[in-house]
Amino acid sequence: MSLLNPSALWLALVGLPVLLLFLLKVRRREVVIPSTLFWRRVLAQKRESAWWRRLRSLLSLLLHLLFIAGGTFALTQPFLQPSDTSDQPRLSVIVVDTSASMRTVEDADKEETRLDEAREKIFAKLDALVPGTKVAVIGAGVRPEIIMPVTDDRASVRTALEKMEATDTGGDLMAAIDLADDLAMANAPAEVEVFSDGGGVEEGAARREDAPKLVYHRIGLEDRNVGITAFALRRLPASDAELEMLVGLKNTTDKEVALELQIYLDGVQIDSVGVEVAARSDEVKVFNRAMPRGGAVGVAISEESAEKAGDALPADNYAYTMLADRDPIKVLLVSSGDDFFLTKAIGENPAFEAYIVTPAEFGSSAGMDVVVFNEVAPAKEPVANALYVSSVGSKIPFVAAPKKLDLPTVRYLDEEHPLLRHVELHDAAFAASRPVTPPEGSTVVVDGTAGPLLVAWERTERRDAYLAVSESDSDLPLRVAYPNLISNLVTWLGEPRGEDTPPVLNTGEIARIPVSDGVKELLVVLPNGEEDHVEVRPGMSVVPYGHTVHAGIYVATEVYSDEALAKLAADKGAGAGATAFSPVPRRFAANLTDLRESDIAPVEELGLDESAPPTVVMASGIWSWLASRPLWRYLVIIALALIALEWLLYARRWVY
Amino acid sequence: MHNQAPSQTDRVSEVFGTDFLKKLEYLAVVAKKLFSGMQKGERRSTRRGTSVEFADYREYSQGDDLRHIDWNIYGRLEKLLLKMYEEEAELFVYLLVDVSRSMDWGTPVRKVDYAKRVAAAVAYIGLSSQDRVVLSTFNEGLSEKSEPLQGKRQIFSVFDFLERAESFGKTDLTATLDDWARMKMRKGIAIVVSDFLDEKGVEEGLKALRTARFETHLVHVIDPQELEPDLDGHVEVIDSESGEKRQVFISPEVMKKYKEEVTGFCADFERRCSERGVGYVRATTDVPFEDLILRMLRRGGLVL
Repeated sequence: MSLLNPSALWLALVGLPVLLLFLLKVRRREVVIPSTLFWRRVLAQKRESAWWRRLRSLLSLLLHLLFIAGGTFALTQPFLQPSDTSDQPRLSVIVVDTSASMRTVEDADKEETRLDEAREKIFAKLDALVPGTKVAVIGAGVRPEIIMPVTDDRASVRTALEKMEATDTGGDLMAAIDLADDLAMANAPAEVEVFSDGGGVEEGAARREDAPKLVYHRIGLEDRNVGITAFALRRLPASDAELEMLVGLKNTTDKEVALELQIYLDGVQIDSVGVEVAARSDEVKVFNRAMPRGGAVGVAISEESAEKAGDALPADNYAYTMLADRDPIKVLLVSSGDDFFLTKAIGENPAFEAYIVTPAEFGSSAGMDVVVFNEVAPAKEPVANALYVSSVGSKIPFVAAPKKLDLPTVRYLDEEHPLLRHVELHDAAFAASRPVTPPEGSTVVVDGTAGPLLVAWERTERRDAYLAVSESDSDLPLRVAYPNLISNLVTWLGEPRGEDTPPVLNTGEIARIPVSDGVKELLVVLPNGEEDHVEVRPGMSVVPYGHTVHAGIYVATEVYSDEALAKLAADKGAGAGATAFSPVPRRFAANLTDLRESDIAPVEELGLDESAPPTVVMASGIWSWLASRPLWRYLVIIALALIALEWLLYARRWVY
Repeated sequence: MHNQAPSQTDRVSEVFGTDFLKKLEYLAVVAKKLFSGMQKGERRSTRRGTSVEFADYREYSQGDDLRHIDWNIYGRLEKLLLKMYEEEAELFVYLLVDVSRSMDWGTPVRKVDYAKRVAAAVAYIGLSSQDRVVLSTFNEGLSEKSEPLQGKRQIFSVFDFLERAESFGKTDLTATLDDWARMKMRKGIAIVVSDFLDEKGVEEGLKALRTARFETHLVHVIDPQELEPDLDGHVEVIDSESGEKRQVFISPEVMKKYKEEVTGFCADFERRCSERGVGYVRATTDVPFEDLILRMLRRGGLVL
C-alpha cells in the first residue's frame, strides 16, 4: 500500500489533545440541593462497577482515536499496489459503449442514462488508478472511435468523457475491443476495461490469444422497452395519394401494451393510429394512410403511451423516411372515338392529368408525359412516351399489320413485368388483335396466338408500348384488370419523373449522396442541427457520407464553385443576365430501427470465446460500486461510523 | 442614637409582607364563614379528643353513660363510679416549623419562608377563633417554643417568633417529635410544617404524637425545583445539610428516574399518612400560601 498524500499524516497529532482531554478530569458543575436522598436512591438502582465505567471511558477514547486515525489515513489517500510492480498495468484502455441502448434511462427521477452510469464508474476507476498509469478511451459505436488517445492527463480524459454522448446507432463492441487489444498490446502491460450493456459481440467471437485480461463492467438493470424496429412505406398501385405503411414494433415488457403511433409529415402530425403489441414480442403492423404530398414522413410512439408502457429507451420510438413528391402524369389521349372505357380508365385516375383530342386536333405532344394513340397513328413520332392501341402507321416505332387476326388467345404472360401488376389476363377473351412485330430490344409482355398482344420497349430516355387489342375487340374493358392495365401502362410510360425516393438508411450506415458537376462541397445538416462540410473532389458523382449517428432527417445542400455557379446562372438566365441559382437540397432519413439495440436488457456475459484471454464480469450493483471506489472513501465511511457509535454511547450512557 | 421600640406595622417584615395581614384577615373571615352555625362538638374536626382531662368521680345514677363508668374502681370497690371530665374550654393548636438547613433553599421563595407564612396563617386563624396557639421550631431537635398565645393581637408575637428562627442544622424528625410529645402539654392539634427530608423518616415521630393523642397534620413543603430539577449533563450535587457530594451524569433517562423517585416518595408518604389518620397536605412553594390555606380549610383536613 502506498500513500498519495503522506503529508496528511501530520493530522494524526490531533489525537494528542483528544488524549489529553480524556486524561484530564471533567470538571463538574456543583449544585447545592436540599438533600441527596432521592439522587442516592436513583443511583442505587443502576449502580455499575468502577471497572466497567473505566472500560467504557477507555472505549470512548479508543473510538475517538480510531476516528482520528481513520480520517487521517483517508486524507493520505492510500491505494493498494501489488508487491510485484512488473505486472502492474501501465496503461488502462477503457472501452465505452456509445450505442443507442446506452441512452436507456435507468433512473427516471434523475434522468440518468446508462452512459451517465458508465461515466460515473469510469471516473471512480480513474480515481483509483495507480499514479503514473496512462489511460486511453475508445468509444464503441457503430464504428470504434478513439475518444482519448493514450495519455496520463486525467483532467483531459475527464473532459473528453464529459463531452461524450451516446449515438442513435447500433454498436460494434467487438471492433472496439479489437482496437483496444491492439492498443493494449502495443503498450504492455496493459488492461482493457469495457463499460457496456453488452450488445454488439457475436456469440463465440474470439480475441487475440495474447490479448490482456478484459474486465467487463456491466452497465444497467432496466429491460423494459417499446420501440420501432422497422419502417417502410410505398404508394398503393391504385392510388398515388395513398400510402401503405409498414411499422415493425418491439415490446420487451411483460405485458401487452397499447401504443399510439403518431404520423408526421415534415414535422407536423397529420394522423395517428392505435396498435397493440403483445408482451415480449416483435410485431409488424401494416396500415394505409392518405398522404397528400411527398416530404419527410415520420412515425413516432406517443410519449404518453410509451411512458404508460414503462419505456426506458426513447431513442427508438421514432423513425423517418423520405417520400418523393409525385406530380400527376400528364396524359394526352388521341382518339377517333370508341374509347369510352379507355377515357374512363385514364380520366378517373387521380394520379393522371388527362387531356383528350381528336386526331385532327393533335399537333404536338410537347409538355405531355405520355401520349396515347387509340387506333390512330401520328404523322410523326411524338416527343413524349407513347402508348399505341392497335395503331397502324409508318411513323410509329412498332410495325403493325393493317389487318387484324381473329380470335387470338393468350399464350404467354410475363407476370413479373410491372405492366402486369395486379392484372389477370389468363381467361380474357379476344375477338381480334392486330399482329405487331416487336422491335429489337423490346419486351413482349403478353404474347398471343396471333402475335404479341402487349409489347414494352424501353430505350435510352424513352419508353413506348403497344397494345394490340382495341377496346371493342375484347372483353378486357369489362374486367377489373383493365383499369389496372391502363394505369400500369401510363405509370410505366410516365416514369421517370419527379424526385427519386432516396433509400432509408440505418443510423451508422454510409449515405451515398449524388452530386452535380461543379460542386465543391456538400453541406450536411444533421437532425440535431449540427452541420458537416464534406469536400467534393472534382469528378465525383456520388459522395459517401458516414456521420449518420443521429436518427432523423439529414439535409444535404450542394455548394458550387464560383465558376460553376456563374456557368449555371448563365445557362439558366439564357441571355437575360440573371445570376440567381439556388440548388435544391437533398434530404434523406436515417433510423435506428435495430432489433438488437431495442432489446435493452443488459447482457450477462459478453459471449467471447472461452479459449480467449480471461474476462472478468463486474455486475452493475452495490459490490461493483464498492469495488470501483478508492480506499479513502471507505476509510471516511468507517471513521464516520466510529464517531456515530461514540456519540451513541455518549447520548445513551447512564453513567451516574 | 437611641433604640425606638418598633411599631406593630414596622414589625411586618419581608417574610410577612405589607399585605400579609390583609390576607390573614381574609382567611380568618373565610374560615368563620365556612364553620358558622356549627356548635361545639359538631365540627368535623377532632374536638372530641380535647375534653379528656380527668376532674372527679361521682356515683352512677340511672341514665348515665355506661362508657364513663370506671371499671377498675368497680373491680376493687364493687361500686359504680362515674369518671367526671373537665369540660374543654379552649383548643390548643401546636405549630411545629422545620428550620433545618434543607428548608433554607428554593427560588424565588425559600421553603422555610413559605413554611413560616403557612404557620403564621394557621396561627392567625386559630387566634381569631380564641384558640390557644403554641409555636415551635425544630431541626435536629426542638429549637424554640413559644408560650401559648391567644387573641388576634398576639399575631405580632407570632411574627416575631417566626422571624427570629434561623435555618441551620440537620433534620431529625424522630428525635424532635418524640421529645415534643413527651412534654407535658394540653392535648390539641399538632401541625408539622416541614420538607420531611429525613434519612430516618417520620414514622417514629408520628407514632410518638399519636401515642400522646395529638391530632396530627403534616404540611409537606416542596420547591418545584425539587420535583423537576433544571439540571443536565455532568453535575456534582451537594447535600445542603450533610455536605455530602454525589457525581451524577444527568441524561433524560436519569432525570426521568429521578422524577419517578420523588413522585413515588410523595405518593407513598401521603398514603401512609392516610392509613394512620394523619392529615397530609402537599405545599408546593409556587402555589400562593393563601390558596394552600383555603385548600386545607375546604378539604376539611384541618379545621380550627
